[in-house]
Amino acid sequence: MSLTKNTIITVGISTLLLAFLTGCSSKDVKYGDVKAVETVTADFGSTDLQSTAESLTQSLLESRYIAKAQQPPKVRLRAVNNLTYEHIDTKSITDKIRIKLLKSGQVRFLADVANLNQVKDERELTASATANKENKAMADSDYIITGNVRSIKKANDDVKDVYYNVSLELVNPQSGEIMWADEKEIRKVTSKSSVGW
Amino acid sequence: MKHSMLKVTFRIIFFSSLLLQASVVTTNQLHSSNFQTTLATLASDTSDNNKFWYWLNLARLQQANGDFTTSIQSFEKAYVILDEYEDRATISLRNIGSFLGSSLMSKGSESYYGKGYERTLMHTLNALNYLMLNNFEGAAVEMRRMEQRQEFWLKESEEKIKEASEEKEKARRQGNDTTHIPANYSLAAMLEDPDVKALTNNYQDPFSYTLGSIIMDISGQSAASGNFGEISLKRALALNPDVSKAFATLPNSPSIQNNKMDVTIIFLTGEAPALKIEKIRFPILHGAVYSSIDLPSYTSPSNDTSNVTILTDKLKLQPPRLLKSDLMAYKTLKDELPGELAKSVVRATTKAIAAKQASDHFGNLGGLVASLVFDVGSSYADSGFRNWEMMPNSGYIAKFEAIKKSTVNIKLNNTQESFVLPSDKKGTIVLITYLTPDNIRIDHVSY
Repeated sequence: MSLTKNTIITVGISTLLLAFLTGCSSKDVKYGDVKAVETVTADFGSTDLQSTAESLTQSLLESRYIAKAQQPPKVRLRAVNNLTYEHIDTKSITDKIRIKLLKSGQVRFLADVANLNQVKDERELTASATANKENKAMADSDYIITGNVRSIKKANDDVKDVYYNVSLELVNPQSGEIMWADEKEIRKVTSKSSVGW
Repeated sequence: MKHSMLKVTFRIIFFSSLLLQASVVTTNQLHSSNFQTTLATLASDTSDNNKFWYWLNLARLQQANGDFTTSIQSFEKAYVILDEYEDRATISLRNIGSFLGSSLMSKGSESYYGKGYERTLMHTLNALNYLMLNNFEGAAVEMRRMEQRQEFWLKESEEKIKEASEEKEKARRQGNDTTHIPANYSLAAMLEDPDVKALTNNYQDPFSYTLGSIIMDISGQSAASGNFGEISLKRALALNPDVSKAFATLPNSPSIQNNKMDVTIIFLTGEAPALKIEKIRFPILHGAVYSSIDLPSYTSPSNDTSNVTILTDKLKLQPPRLLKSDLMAYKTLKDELPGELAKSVVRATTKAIAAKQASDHFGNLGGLVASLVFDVGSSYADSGFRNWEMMPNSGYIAKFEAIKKSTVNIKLNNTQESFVLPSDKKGTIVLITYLTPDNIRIDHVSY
């Protein structure tokens, strides 16, 4: 009886200790909803990236130069300039927009300028007399897409306000004419507590 | 008898101060051992990794070692500490505690979050990290941050002016004069230096703005960002008209028109003055006890260059010294000294009253022990009060045209270095760091 009691106590303490140690050492990892609103900081985040890509792609697809084109135009995505106060990876914005546009099947994409040399090298390996013609085709885009991300930051004793503006333009590279432009505005407000540590 | 007691007391304090300062990596270590040892020691000793200055010192050494990516990470750690400070609640218990501690006990009870010029320069130096990694857009972000950061400093300075007038009033009510700088304060003459007085303000330097304009031009963002480059250059010229001497072009000759390129050379040299707390001790009650006025002060800058020359086959340039960290530090001190003096007088009076009470109750020895306890206690707190000691003391910029593939010679004091320009690029940016005589480093990127 005494042995059983001791065993129970030992097992109980061991279990508690194990549970405590497990609780201390393991990290709680779980999958999150990629579409869930992210408000960890006021910096440009995943929710902003998704909403920007969604809204600007939709607007671009509805523009007459894409929606009413005889055949899907050839488009090249140029860099989106980061003019903010944060180190935003603007390539993630253009990549997302490219994927959405490609999935729509309404446009054809040419390689990025950054990747153009690699594509050229690859082509030159197998190129024959038609190489020049093919290279020309590779460089000829009907439109280019370019844009800017800007931000304005303001703060007082109580509130910190960050305004983001992401704008995109569809440009005819031959004429330089801007065929379509739209913007996505995002505003984030962080309140400061009046009393705190 | 009283005098010999005081002498012994001061000796004890002196040796205690030495012991307190021996445990941390300082600029002294950089001077006494080599650069690599100091960098390794600082990186491995993380006991101060919650301090703003720790990450700035580390970032500067990493940059001077060519570790630009790790330097960026260290700067980011410093930003996190400063951002937390700037985002604190309107009524922050920590800020109140720090204010009370520095008002009653010692200046060293405050946590150091950098002065305006240091906060500006941390972004400027980080922009150089991005430049050296060929990330011009990242460099432009840092230059915008540099500008943005100044807003909080201005707000903080306004609050300091308000605090200073309250402290002055408090000191006046105690019957103390806070209008005169103590005659034996080591920086008294320096603060009246015409070069210090001539500075427009204590947080904007022409080096950062000149670099900002160059970065905006190279990154191609100037027009898109509302002519930020042009505005930066105008600001730099307003801060120091010598900025115009930083630029030189070759004559417009058809023979060299297609064979020239832009060269930007940036020099960062020396170490800025290190912050210290200077104690001006004075006896009271006929020498039975003593108190002290403790004021922020600076050591002299070190390892700096006095002369920088650039020679090409077509040009000879002596770029102007656009970053003058020592003068910026003295200017800040000059602006803040009325408040610091008033606070220090209030502290000295509080300690003197306590020492007198100890003397009344326990005799002269009791009073002396009380004085000693206050003195050693505040020396201990003050020993951890440090600034960005390894910040460059001087910065020079030259942007000029040169012939591709030609040789550029650089003279820094008595050291001469040279490099050959590339043949197929539009421009090149060269960063030259001179931190100690065993650490002269030349890095470059082309575009």
